[in-house]
Amino acid sequence: MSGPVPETTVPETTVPETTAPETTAPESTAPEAAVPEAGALGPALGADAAASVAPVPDADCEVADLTIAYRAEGTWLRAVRDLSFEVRPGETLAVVGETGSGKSSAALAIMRLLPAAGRVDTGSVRVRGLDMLSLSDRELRQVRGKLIGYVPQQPSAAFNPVMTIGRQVAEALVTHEGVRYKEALTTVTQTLTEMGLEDPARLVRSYPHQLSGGMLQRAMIASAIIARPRLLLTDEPTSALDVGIQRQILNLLKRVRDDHGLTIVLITHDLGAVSQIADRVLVLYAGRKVEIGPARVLLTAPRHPYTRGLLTSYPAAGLAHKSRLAALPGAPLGPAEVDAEQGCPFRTRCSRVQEVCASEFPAASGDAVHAWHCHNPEPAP
Amino acid sequence: MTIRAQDISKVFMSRSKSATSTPAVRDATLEITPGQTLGLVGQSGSGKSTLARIILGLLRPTSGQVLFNDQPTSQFRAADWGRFRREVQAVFQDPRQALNWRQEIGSIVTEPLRNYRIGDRAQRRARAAELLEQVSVSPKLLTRRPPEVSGGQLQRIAIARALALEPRYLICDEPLSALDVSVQAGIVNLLLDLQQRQGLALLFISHDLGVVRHLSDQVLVMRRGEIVESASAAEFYQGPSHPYSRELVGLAAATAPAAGGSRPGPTADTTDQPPETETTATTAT
Amino acid sequence: MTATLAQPVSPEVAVPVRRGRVAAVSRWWPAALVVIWVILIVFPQVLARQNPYTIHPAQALLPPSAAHWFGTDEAGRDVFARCVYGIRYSVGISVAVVFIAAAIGSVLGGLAGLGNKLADNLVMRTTDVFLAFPYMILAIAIAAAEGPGLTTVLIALTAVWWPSYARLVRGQILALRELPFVEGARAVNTPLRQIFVRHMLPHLAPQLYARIAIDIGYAILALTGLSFLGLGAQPPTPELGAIIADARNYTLQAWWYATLPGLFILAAVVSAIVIGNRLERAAGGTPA
Repeated sequence: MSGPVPETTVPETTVPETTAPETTAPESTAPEAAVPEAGALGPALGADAAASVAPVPDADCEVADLTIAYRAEGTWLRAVRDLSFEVRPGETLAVVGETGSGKSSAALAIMRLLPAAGRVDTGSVRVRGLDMLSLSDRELRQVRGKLIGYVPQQPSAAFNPVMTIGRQVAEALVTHEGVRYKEALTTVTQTLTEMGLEDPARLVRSYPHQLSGGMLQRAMIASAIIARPRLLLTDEPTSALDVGIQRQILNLLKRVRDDHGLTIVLITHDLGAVSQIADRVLVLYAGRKVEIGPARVLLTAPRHPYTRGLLTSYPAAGLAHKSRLAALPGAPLGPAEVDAEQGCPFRTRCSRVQEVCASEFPAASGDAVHAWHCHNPEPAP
Repeated sequence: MTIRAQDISKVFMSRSKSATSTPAVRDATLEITPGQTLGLVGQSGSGKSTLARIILGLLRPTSGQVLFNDQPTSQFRAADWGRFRREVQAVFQDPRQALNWRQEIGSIVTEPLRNYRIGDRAQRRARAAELLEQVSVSPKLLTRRPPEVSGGQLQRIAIARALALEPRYLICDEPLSALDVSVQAGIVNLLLDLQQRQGLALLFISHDLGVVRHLSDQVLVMRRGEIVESASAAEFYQGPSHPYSRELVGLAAATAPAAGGSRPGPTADTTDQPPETETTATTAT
Repeated sequence: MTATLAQPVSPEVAVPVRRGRVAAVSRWWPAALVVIWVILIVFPQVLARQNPYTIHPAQALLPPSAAHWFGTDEAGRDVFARCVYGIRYSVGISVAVVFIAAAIGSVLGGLAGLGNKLADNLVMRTTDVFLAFPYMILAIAIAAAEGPGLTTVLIALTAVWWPSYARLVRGQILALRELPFVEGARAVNTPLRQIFVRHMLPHLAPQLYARIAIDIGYAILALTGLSFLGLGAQPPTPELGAIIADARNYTLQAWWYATLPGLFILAAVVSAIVIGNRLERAAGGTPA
């Protein structure tokens, strides 16, 4: 069954057509042309849901003023505060941060996968115009896997150890397309081959413990994209892997992205991964957005002191042998401090700190392409 | 006074009746010289951690020997190990696991002193505060416990404990991997300072070539249990000889943060099958 | 203790875990129970106004009333008072049994876990032998040898109980041995004995306490059973099993005589288990 012909124009604001077929066909065309119909989810959600959908904007994912809190020791502590960003169709956005930055929480919130102890206090999350926070459980189940694919951290822990790989990879298909496992098998083996895995026929019968870390990660990516989602969220896809395998996985993601016209949100702390795959980078610190802009710019001439600190923390090629690194003093903030902070949370470690930083979180400076939140940013190059 | 490992091999016996188990370490030879940093780089499963444990006496090698001042450690008795451990200390990868989370920090740091009956309670407590200062940790943390302390501080505390006996050698097994990026650099600087101030000899083990190359005077590359290259840092910057080393250097360049733009040109890696074939089994590290 | 938010806070912190109806009591119940039982045991006169030993043949087998909460037995003694005084034996001996068993078991389990293969095998095969015996048979055998009495059942139950502690401690130690901080302790030359005391015991202790509390409940049951068979307390000692054994003959005339002491035992055992569960939750499960 052929899908819709990929539009070559920018998607105009269209209400999701209920006549559009369910999947976006993976025609291998040039990346910028692989923009499928907005109606990917229309029929799946049914008539009443269509009414809640606003005209599809120019973004695949829009997060506005998102605040997420977790329950800890009797009170609710905010882990993410007033986070706003958008993910443009077809791009790869890296969300970068360390412990306590809130990046994983933000990703989970997009999928409505926050644990029982977490909640969204304020803000909105829209994916392809759908208000994720107001979807019912049934609607959510239809969206996950179909519209958004998710690759969690540590594939070895994310796979069910007592189910075969085949069944787990096929899960999204079985749930969304309503096919039986046997019928899904061909697609599964095809996708596994596409992931670069050898002997897929044997793999589908194997169990997770029989695969290496790299293979599991490929299988996990396969399971995330098998229902041809529009948006792919990957949480630290390379952290448990050797650097050689990391490179392969990132190359794989790039290939999958180009072949299927995916939009990728990559959660990571690894700037190396960012440099290999990201178009734009969003830097989070202590639950706040501190800088966002094109990867090339942020990796060479960032304006926020934290981003710069991250870069200088690693021994760059030209650095004198055995010389001290320009390290950031101190450590990332703990949850209570993140919640209590009135001004800029980075001020305790910042070399450019000023008095105003203690009382007021900086508003955005810059433009739509490159923005930062700092009272005293690094000078422009 | 040197530590030398000669032709160390270690095979972990597997229960199954299958013929051979692959050795975790094979014919490894190295020498740690005072005041110098020896870097050991390798991927997971390369055997670097196993080798470290053998050198520390926490594991016995299947063959080969470790020589401490030309004395084989295989012949050590309790008293000899006592002397050895005063000179040779270690820092491990994850301080949250390497330290007893129910123990007070003060107790953690003074444990080596208690083991060797050095000083009385008051003196030990003073020394604990001193040690924490050496690693830039506030002495207020002496009464806290590991869960109350951040990862970077905890690793510094682990280093403080290792320094308690004023050793001459410090074996660091992946000391940075469990830490946040912005914190790693602080530990790197701390190690550099300690070496400069105290003339420590370091064995720095990591999978991160960039950091190893930056810190080390001599670099060893380990792969599948074997040391495939041993070169000075300068040689490494210019270009190592072994193909595996060169591959690692290439990877390090390509994956460094400020490397090429966001979408580098088409890579040669179109096959997705690495020169290292993906094995399904995992070998002991 | 600060929680890190790098990964979502575990629900254990936020939502109280409810496990079954017995344990689904709010947090202060176990503490209240401990207080109640301590008062009952240490100051039995507080609740048991009557003398458990005095015989009033004229007031035999009276039903429960304000004066006699559990009624009277065939000799006119106040059953409630007998229960309260009797439970002291039950709890006293059970506590002794469990603590001694735990002590023996911990030492042997420690030897097995920390020692060489020979020590391990020696201890484990011994526990196998003991565990193969149903405790009743062993108790009867010992009673036949020593003669019935409370010391007999104490010996019998201790002999039967220590193997499970040995197994528990051995298992925990085998797991703890592999933990990185034990390796770290070896790296700073901490001797084995100190490793056990300083590093392992603090991790073992909470689990052990929880298990001990629950076992006290089961020991009460076992002791009562043995006394019921006549192996334990001898008359006129008011031990609960003996009371119920006597009450058996009068079930049709005086149902309260057997039933209410039975419920009393139930209350004691359930209390022990509730307290033990609470301790187990506080202990938090396995290390790391």
